[in-house]
Amino acid sequence: MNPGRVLPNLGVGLGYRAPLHDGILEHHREIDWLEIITDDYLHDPGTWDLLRTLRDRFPLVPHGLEMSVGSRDPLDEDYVRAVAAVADAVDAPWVSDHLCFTRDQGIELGNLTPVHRTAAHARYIAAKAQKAQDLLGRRFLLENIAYYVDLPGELSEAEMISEVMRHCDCGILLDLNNVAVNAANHGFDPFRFLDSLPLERVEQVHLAGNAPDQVQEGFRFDAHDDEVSDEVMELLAHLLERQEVKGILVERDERFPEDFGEMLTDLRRARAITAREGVR
Amino acid sequence: MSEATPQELLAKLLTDPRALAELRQNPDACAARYGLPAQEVRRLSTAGMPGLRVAASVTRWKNLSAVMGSLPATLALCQAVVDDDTIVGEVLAHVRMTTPRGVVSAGERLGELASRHAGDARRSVIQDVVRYETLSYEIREHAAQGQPDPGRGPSLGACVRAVTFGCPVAEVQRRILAGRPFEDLRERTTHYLVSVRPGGRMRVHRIPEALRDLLGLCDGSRPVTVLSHRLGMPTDRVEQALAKVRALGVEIRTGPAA
Repeated sequence: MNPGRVLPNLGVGLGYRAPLHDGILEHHREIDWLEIITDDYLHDPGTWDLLRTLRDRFPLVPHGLEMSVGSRDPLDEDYVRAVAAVADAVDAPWVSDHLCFTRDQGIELGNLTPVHRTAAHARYIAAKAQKAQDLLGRRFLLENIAYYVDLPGELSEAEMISEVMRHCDCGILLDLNNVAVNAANHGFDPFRFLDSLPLERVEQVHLAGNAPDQVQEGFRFDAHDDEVSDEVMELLAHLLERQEVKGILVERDERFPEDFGEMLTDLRRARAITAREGVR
Repeated sequence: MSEATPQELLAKLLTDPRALAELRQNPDACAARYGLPAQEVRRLSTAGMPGLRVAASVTRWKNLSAVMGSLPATLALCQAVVDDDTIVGEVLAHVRMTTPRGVVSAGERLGELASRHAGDARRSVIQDVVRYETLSYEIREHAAQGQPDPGRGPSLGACVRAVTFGCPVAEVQRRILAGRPFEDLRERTTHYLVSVRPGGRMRVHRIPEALRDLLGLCDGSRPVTVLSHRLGMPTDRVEQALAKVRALGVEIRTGPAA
């Protein structure tokens, strides 16, 4: 398999979470594809029956949390092989994780943490991501994270992403809610941020929203716990004017709505924007 | 890449409040140790402090949430005697909660931490609760290595165990999670049949000692006639006991007839 092959256009999908299960199946005609949290299925093939059931109706894309390509430790090849097994089981078109570190030098963080942004570290991360992609045998996308602390470094976030991409042929999963949250917290223009990324490498997008009360010490909180905001939808339109993407995904991690119609509204709004911008 | 680095500094700042205090008090020493420009570390120690506190609190919350989901009573026993910063700094920053082995390791370390601070009276209960809550992860880890060929006699499924605790640990766990006293349940030997479903959901049946003894011998090496002889129990009663267990939906593999 050639990881660099042209990816299928999946359309507008939803992040699979157990509380949304019934609504997803009931409204499957309005959901083009699902993203699953890879780590939930890594160590228990007994759970793959659920994945096979979902796979009968939807294309599935595994989205991981613990690859930690940004840590200075070597790539955890056992973890990558376990991810590959899940990806094979669902015949995933691509696989994603985050441009961050979750462990470093024996310290386990269990949280997506921003990397030290230097050119040398970007090249190191790129080599690890490339190796992961080779082991996975399919395209590997790296997602931008939300962060509240910025380590002193020589590159901006956009420059860091660009530098990583320059040294590997992986793709970008662009979380537009994270862009909006980071822009608000660190004082930059999210539209200019998008324009400074290598947009031709963006294959997938995450859309999400945050409840307005999610503020701590003046920081807007990335909680993925509310309807997708207008701001994020505007960022989607801005992106799609410039770059076609292969998958758009609405992501909700907490405060799942009792009325699944709220999720459908997000999906329909995203679909309307893709139609307006001339993509599927 | 073995010298201390900025990411290592950040990892420590997010998991160890002492590191955060040190940064505040002496940023220049931090800068020197982690190879960062002193001026930028000074900025991190002042303007960057709110962001560090938020990131540390998110990290702490995510770690504790992961434990709350997998080892809830173990965590509650720990939180009764030490603060959350200690739990994160001494245990959770050193285990990976996303693997069965990591959860087992976290349980063992949390149990040691709680036992150190709780005194002798609670030690055996803490050990039982840890063993009970890590059991499904141990079983899943073991089962992932594959099921041995069936032997000559009955054997428990790969995700089934017959286990003995020093207290009625399932009830102890319920009481801990409900915030109710459990001291009256100590030192009562209790036997359980435990089976783990895909996804880690555990089914637990309290069983009598005689059934525990029977199931403890069901490792595939002994035909029913041998089990009957060893336990001094008629063959048909052995068969009936195993049939009752199967009727609960618990997997008992059958060897060839003796």
